[in-house]
Amino acid sequence: MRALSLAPPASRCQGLARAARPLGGRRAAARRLRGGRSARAARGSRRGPARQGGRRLRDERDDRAAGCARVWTDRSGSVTVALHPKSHIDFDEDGGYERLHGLTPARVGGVSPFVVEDLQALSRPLGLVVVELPLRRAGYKLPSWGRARRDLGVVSRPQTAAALRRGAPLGVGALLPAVVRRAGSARRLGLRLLLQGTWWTRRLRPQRPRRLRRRGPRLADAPGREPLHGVSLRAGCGGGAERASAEDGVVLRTRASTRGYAR
Amino acid sequence: MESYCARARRLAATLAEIPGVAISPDPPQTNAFQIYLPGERTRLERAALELAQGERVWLFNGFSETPVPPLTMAEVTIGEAADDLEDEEVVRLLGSLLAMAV
Repeated sequence: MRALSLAPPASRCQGLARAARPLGGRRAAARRLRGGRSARAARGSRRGPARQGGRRLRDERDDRAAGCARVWTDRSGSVTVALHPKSHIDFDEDGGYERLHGLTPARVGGVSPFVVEDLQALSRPLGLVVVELPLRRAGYKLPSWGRARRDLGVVSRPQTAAALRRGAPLGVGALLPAVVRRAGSARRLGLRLLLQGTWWTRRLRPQRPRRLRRRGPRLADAPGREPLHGVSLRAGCGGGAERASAEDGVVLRTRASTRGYAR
Repeated sequence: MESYCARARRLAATLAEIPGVAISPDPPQTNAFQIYLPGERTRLERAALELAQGERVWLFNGFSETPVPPLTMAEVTIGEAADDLEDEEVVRLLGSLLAMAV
């Protein structure tokens, strides 16, 4: 089975296999459709789902992300989470962060990613700001490069900057290693932009600034009752497994499904 | 990743030429984009399954209704898997899909 996009989900593969049934067994058919990856393996990556009232959350990763958000909001003294209404954590997770973790959403932005001014217009104190890059449900949109630099403190490796000067399209993969916390941008919001997690540690260590490499950003870095700034990064391609570490207190999200390309 | 983004832009531009098909964002900002198709979601889903069984090609992982009927939205994420399909073949397959969904 060739695929234009990513591998079809296991549930759809099984449905297709049931409908087709020509090539020796449903499981084998589902495995072939999945590009060799068995439905059991696919289920294994989603084991341990959180439950509430017997209802299964869509994905354990979602709950981990919400759990991380809870850690941050607990420590910052506000349960209000600023997020885009089309962000994954709000759009796709069936209100898990509200029902399971008692967080209160402050939805900002419309058809495009929100900007600093949208956040500044909020009157409520924020415990966390979740940024999804790119914003999938809005059409995989990114903030403009100027906005990304000014609002999020995205800085660029030389080759990324050169590509941008040439007018080359900005790939998320190019953006991810380029994202480094930069105090100046965060100060504009009175926020601290912290970026950490297993994915970050494993993949971005060579690019980490010396100060972060030495001790890494920690919750203790956040002074007093300043709101904290979490970042959710959604890599359209080349991302590793989902990583969100409550211990580190950072929501960092990439698409695990990119590992399962159908061939 | 840059090559995936470039491919996404090329493919999106090609697909946008099909009557009734729209791309968002146009041009794509990353290696992924949304494609808006004329037709009802249920018919397109059924047509996609028939296409997958007949042509052994999986075009879209899912379809979503939009606030503008009868437009239906699907997502395309360009990666390694897309290397198996040329743009012209995608256009042909999408034409078949739309014809089957009528």
